[in-house]
Amino acid sequence: MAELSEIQFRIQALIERGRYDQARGMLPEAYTLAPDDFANHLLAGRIALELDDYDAARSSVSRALEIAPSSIHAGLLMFSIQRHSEQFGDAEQLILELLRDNPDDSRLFGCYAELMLRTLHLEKAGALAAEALRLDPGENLARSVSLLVNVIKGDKAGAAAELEELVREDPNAQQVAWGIIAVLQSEHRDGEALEVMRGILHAAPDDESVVEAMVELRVASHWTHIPLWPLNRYGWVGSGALWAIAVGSFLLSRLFAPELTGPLVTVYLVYVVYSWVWPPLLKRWLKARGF
Amino acid sequence: MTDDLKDLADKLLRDPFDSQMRGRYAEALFEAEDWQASLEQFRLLARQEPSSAAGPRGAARCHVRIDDLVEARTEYEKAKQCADFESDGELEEAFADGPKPALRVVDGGSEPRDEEADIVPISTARDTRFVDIVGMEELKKTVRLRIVDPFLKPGLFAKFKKKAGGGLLLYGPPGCGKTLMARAIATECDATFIPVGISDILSMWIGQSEGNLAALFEKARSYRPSVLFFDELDALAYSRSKAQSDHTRSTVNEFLNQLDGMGGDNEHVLILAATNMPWDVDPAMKRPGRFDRSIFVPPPDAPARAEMFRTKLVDVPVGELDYQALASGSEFASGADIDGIIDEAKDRVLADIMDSGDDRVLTQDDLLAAIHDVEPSTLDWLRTARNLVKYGGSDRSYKDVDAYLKTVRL
Repeated sequence: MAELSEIQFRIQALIERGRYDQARGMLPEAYTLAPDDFANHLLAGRIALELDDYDAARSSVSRALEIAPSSIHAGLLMFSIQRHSEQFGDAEQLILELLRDNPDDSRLFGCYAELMLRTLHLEKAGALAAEALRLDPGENLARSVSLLVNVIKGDKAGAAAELEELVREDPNAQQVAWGIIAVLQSEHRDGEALEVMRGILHAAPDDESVVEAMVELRVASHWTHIPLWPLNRYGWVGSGALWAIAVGSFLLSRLFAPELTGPLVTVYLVYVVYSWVWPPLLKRWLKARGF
Repeated sequence: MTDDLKDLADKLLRDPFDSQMRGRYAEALFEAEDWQASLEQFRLLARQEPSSAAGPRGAARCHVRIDDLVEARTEYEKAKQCADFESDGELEEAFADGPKPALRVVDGGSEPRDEEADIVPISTARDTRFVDIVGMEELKKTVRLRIVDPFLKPGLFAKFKKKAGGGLLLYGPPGCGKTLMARAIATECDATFIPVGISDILSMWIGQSEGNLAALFEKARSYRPSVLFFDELDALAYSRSKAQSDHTRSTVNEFLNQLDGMGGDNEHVLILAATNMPWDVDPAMKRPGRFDRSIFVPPPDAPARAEMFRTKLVDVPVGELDYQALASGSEFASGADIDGIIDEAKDRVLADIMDSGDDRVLTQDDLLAAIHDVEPSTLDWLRTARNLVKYGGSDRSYKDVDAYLKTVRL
């Protein structure tokens, strides 16, 4: 059995290092030694999940659950599979069952909170995260959820406090970097958020979603974007206000300085066209050229 | 070294824990009458498979060939203790004719051997030189100047307060010759080559991985001048900020200590490493005194690819081939990809012969069709590296990649 443990350790190490194909290559060796071993099924499930092979992952974890139906590890892995494959209803059902059997497990509350955040049930997410943190103040997943809920709700002070805790716990963790970005973006400090995001890119350069997010941030913090600040800052309210100001200006200029109406209309139209055309052009240009 | 031996050595390098492969390699060395090397491999096999008689029996056979009947008998006795023991007529005969066991004098003057360090063999596959590597001329020139010459002419470099040894990281897309280059560097440096893979180090027991690492460095120091080669460095020196286990973090800490020479002086020990994923390597590894020199190993250029096609098709029945056209059609293909292309083309020809019954040679069209079907495996890597170069900011770690990407169009 020592040999099996050694093989399982090596598979685990390969998973930790993101070498999923290599880890999958070692699975037959482990299965040869113990065809129906709980840990083997769990490892197979984890690898399949990382490789987005949800059916294989579900089948491996189901076999693990047949061997140990009350295993919290297997249960959580099945929950992750359901969450990743966007079967949110099943995922909630499962986490509730797990919570019924383990009502003091802060991880379960953290996972449930994250699921609620993902499905935009902010109040519930916040409450579950608070419960997880009450059970274990070091539960970082719940802390991240709480931070994001605060950001979404506009509670900057709450978000900053959660971020401070996260940084204190593990300053190098990637979720901390994401937390910082969320806080900076909520404060419209896009340039600084971009710099933090560069750190994430250095850690995961193959993640195209990071690249996309960086390009968006660079566009938002580009100097040619300054005239669009009211629109970016206040969204539809800003656009409505600008429209009202423009119409008001036209009316006033027609009454008091008709010679200015033409230039004002031109400026407004140029601004409208620029706000519509320029951001995608800039985005394409920055993406092609880099920054 | 014959092709078979080379092939076995390569396979063993990839997975030193494959005891079956080690057994085959040991037998092959025995057949090649390299008794000492075979003995070393049989001993390692005995350590890897203590319950099997194959290791000690093989070692006994080697001892007989080098006229050390006393050791041979000791090994044979060990083999007898194993469940799968089968008597060996040749050995029985040798013992019947040879001297009886005598008392041994313990050599108190010899250095104690580090048993742990013996787990990883010193490679016998040392005959790769720079001339054997197709293309990469610029790279070879750089490596010779920056690595090989300081190693071979330490006096000249010492005048300028430059030390021989240190760390060098080779990085680039997979299949482009990093490992081959590392072996060639060891040969050119005329140094003992000690290859290390992740499985040589990682152990599930607490503290054992760190112990294995320290033992390897100790071994490299005891064989100096030596080249310690860590393949897939990202797996061993995985970024601590991304690691989830304390085990990984403590292994990286020990690695850093050893690189800093905490366990001893690393002079005349060249520490080479190769990685496909330099972004996964712990940043502390790249600080001065550690792997502070890094060299980008790009995909082969067009002349190198043409030469590869020419070399790899030497013993294959081919028609008239335009190697330049093949090279220009296979941009970004690595050496491994070219092997894949040739295999694919051969499959086409064989399928055609099977269907039609008419014998024919491999043609330019077969190869071009295969090139069309085989996507270069380097592209994903280059796109990822491009992300770092384009959006990574002022970090100049990948300036060589930047320069390369400016010469190509992805």
